Amino acid sequence: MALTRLNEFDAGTSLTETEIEGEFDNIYANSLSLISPLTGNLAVGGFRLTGFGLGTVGDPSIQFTGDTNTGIYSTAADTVDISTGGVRAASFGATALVAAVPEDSRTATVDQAFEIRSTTSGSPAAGIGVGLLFSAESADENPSDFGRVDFAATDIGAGTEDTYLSILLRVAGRALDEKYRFSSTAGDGFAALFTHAVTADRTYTLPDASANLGVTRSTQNVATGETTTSVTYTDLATSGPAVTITPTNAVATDQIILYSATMDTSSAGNRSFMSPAIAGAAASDIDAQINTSGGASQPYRNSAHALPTAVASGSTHTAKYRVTAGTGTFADRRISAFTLN
Amino acid sequence: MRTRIGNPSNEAHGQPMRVHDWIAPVGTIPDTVLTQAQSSLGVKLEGSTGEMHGYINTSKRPDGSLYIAIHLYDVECIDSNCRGGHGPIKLLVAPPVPPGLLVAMKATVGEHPQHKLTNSNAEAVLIGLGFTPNDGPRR
Repeated sequence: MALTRLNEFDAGTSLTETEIEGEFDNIYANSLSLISPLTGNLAVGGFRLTGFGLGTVGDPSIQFTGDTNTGIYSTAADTVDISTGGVRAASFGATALVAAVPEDSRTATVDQAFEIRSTTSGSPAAGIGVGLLFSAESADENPSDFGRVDFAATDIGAGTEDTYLSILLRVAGRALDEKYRFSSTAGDGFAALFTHAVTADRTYTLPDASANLGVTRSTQNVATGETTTSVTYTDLATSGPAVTITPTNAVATDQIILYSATMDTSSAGNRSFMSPAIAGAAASDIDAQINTSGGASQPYRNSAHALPTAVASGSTHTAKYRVTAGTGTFADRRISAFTLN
Repeated sequence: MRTRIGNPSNEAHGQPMRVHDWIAPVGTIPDTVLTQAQSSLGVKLEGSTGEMHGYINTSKRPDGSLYIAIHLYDVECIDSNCRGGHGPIKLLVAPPVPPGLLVAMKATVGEHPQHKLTNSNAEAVLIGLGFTPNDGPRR
């Protein structure tokens, strides 16, 4: 009950022991009503508010008016928890937790549960970003910066914004340094999908140069059986096969060219040759796959490879043929080319 | 039979040649063509004797017929270090071949009854046999 006076005292009134004790007992019994509920702001004058009850998630120690299940409470010693709607939304103690609560009802979509925002009072420019720093303790540093994840922009133009993810790590005790950057050139959808069924530690070493990791391949096959008696390199009636490689990255200039054919010559001891005219240059015996005939109608399938470097993008490699004598027969002629870097 | 001047098979020397081509009947054997052509024309068309006047390309087409192209050299090369790769085999200029010898040779080897190749109908015949524009016969 509110604290009010029990008796009315007038001049000349004789106070009885009962009346005096009653007034004091009334004060003792209802003293809390002097400050609760407050009717104005509470100034603690530089002192502390102490001794709060621990509270619970559904009935926190510090609550807001009209919302008794939202506020601050403590689940354990040295731990401060925050409840929203009767659910633990944050906890700061030996482990920290931040949760989006109350939960939504999504089933197969991503919830942006947590936003880290850092705006600027200046004028944004390329390079502006926001990040998270991860620190722990090393032998001589506490805390010690262990890593950082940044999202930054290479383009802050209106409607043309481009951003990237940067991972900063420490190497040999040096300060955090950007070691990995993930960016995209795809306007819509995935630019790339990285997935790995991890069964053991894997190390991927990338070349110290810009490179196209995807192998570009080109293959052509000519099944027709054709002959020549030429002792110099020539096309057969059906030219080729020929392959043209156009790497998506112009740096990929090294290639491997594989070629094979079922080859036969009309007389034992005669040899037949298949060699690529690499990027339009003359075919040569150095690159040739060579078959020495054991006699007529004894075909062999041979294969060889060439490893040209500094091949211009869009170059065509065409198979050429010759024999040393007699008639050479070439069938199921195949050539494939792959980029190597 | 059709006759062209040039290097339609992109032979390594890059020099023009006389090229006579026609379509032989189903069952024609390429090595037999070589023997018959050499005998009929009096030239060497393979390298076993160390010198030759030209060479033969053949191609068995999907219908079994045989495309034959006889290349006769018009430029000599006796350089054993030639980048063409023929080594000591001498490439000699082929003597002029009278039309009558060509007709006789074709008669000996045989000509497909439907695929008669001439300078005027070559494209139609060769396309019908499956050759592409990049192939020597259609260059």
